[in-house]
Amino acid sequence: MRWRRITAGVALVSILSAGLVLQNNIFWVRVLTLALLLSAVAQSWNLLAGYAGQWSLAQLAFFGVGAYSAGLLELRFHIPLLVGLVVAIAITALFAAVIGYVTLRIRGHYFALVTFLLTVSLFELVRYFADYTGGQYGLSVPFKPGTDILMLQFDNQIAYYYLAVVVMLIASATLWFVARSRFGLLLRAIRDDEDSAAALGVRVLALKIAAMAISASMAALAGVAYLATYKLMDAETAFGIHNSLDPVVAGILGGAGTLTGGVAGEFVLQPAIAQVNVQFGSLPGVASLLYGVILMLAILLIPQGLLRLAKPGGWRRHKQSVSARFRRPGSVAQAAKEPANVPDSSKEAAHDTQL
Amino acid sequence: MSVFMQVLVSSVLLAAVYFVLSLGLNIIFGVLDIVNFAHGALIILGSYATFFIHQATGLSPWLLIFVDMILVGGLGAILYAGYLRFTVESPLVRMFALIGFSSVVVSAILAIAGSDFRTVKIDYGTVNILGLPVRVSQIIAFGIALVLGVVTLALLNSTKTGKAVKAVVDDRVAVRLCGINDRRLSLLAFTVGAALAGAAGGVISTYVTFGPDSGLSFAIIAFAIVILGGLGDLVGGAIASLVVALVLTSVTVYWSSALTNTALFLLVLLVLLVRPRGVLGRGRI
Repeated sequence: MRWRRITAGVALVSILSAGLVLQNNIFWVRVLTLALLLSAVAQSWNLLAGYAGQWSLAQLAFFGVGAYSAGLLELRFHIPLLVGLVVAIAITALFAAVIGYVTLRIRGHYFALVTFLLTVSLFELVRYFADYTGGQYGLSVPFKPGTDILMLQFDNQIAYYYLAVVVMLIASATLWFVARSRFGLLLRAIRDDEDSAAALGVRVLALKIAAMAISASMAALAGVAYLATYKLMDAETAFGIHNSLDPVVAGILGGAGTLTGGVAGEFVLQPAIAQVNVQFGSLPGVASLLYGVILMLAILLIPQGLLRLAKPGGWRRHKQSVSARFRRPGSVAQAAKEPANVPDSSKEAAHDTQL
Repeated sequence: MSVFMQVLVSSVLLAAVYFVLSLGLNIIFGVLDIVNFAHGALIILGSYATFFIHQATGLSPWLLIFVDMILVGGLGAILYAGYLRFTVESPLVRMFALIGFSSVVVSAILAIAGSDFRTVKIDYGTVNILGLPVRVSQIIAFGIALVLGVVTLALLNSTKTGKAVKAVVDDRVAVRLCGINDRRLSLLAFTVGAALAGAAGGVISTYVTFGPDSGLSFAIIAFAIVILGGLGDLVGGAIASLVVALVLTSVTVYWSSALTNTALFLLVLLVLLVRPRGVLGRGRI
């Protein structure tokens, strides 16, 4: 507990001071701004996957739905971005709840698959309705010089950095409140054993839908902040299938089911991607190669995530579980040693076959 | 009327190819409980193997289907035995590991072969079916797909190993209790599933143009078929292939070819709402 407070404090102070220290290094300010915005999305993934056990592939899509909603509200109805933000979050939450109502009743594999199809479908729809969404050129909101809080418009890059800090903090606080609440406890009960939870009277479907709506709102908040920062949102950024891996990779890398895993993951991932892009120019596919390699290695070597590895005693536990896994793959003893956040296969598989 | 007939004929021809697309996915899902997100990557590897070997040696693309099966099946075996086996034993986690693998394969293809769209050109002319011109190569692809599908079903139903695989689909614990080595069966299923994906890639390379990202569209078709047919239900899959082929062809003809994935997404949502166990109601959920 004390360890957690100290590291969280150190991380927060360094994030807050980084904006001032890096004032003149615009490249890194941009990289870290993006990392902060995407951390909010990774945290939203972590809420749904790490705590509720629903491994979504549509978190970046919800980020996109939020941004497109707010952008269209501004362009079509001249609603200022700060007001549009609230509406966009409501729209995205409702949208996620509807999708959740259909998909969350069936467990396991389907959810990841359907959220994947949702992302692909939204990509097509945005391209198809190009008259409204700007199609392949993306949706851009007008840029006016000067500062206008109502339009979330600032006259320097550092202000956007702190906007991203605020977004990340709101998302993290939401995750923290959910994790500590009775609601979060019930979500973890559903994650660990859905049938037992249902048998004890937990309203499984309603809670899962609520978790999905909350996590989609967190992603939508980040999406609107992204739109405010870059004045542009396009289909590839929000609904591109390679990009949609970003919150997943960050969440797993940092640690599914940890309070700050998403942030830690993004702060490793984004600088790495920026470095690789600098090294190789913009060679096509380099970023998605990096996502793939990191995802494969993280799942193989540190499935519990970097944060749990860095904990006192984490390295020792890690060595034990990894060596057990490599010596006797698939043994029951190995499954027992793995961290608790990983969904239990044997129970779910047994249940499926009984049905 | 003639447009409708055209839709019908090309759907039936496509359905057999689509069925082969979904076979490997269904087998891997049934035995390992994993939705193989790398399915599209394995298919597209088969297509590229056919394309490049055909270009280099001039061998018949139909013959190369066997080469695809060996190459992609071998890669699948290496992937399972050398990587997937050592990951945490959870279908969900392994599914995401396969997403990572898929990402690696697609970016590698993009880096090596570029983003050009390709197709394996064969021209045997056309024949008339029901008064409509159909390419002969499409009919051969249909025939090969049909043979692949029937052989796979026959092997599953009549050989001892095939029956063991079907038994694992039904109840893994009971299979273990019977003294069958289910880990070896898992490796076998993953290898066969990958080989079938490679074969599907070989067949489809003569049918359509493909680029590095096309594996994704093929995989989406396979996902839709497997869900519509019922997870683990191969006969349901055959029926679903026809339905999906009809839906896709109709959407392309009557609506827009830019919305095929959306049509499949809506189809999947509908199936999950009204018939989550697939058309025959025998699939697992």
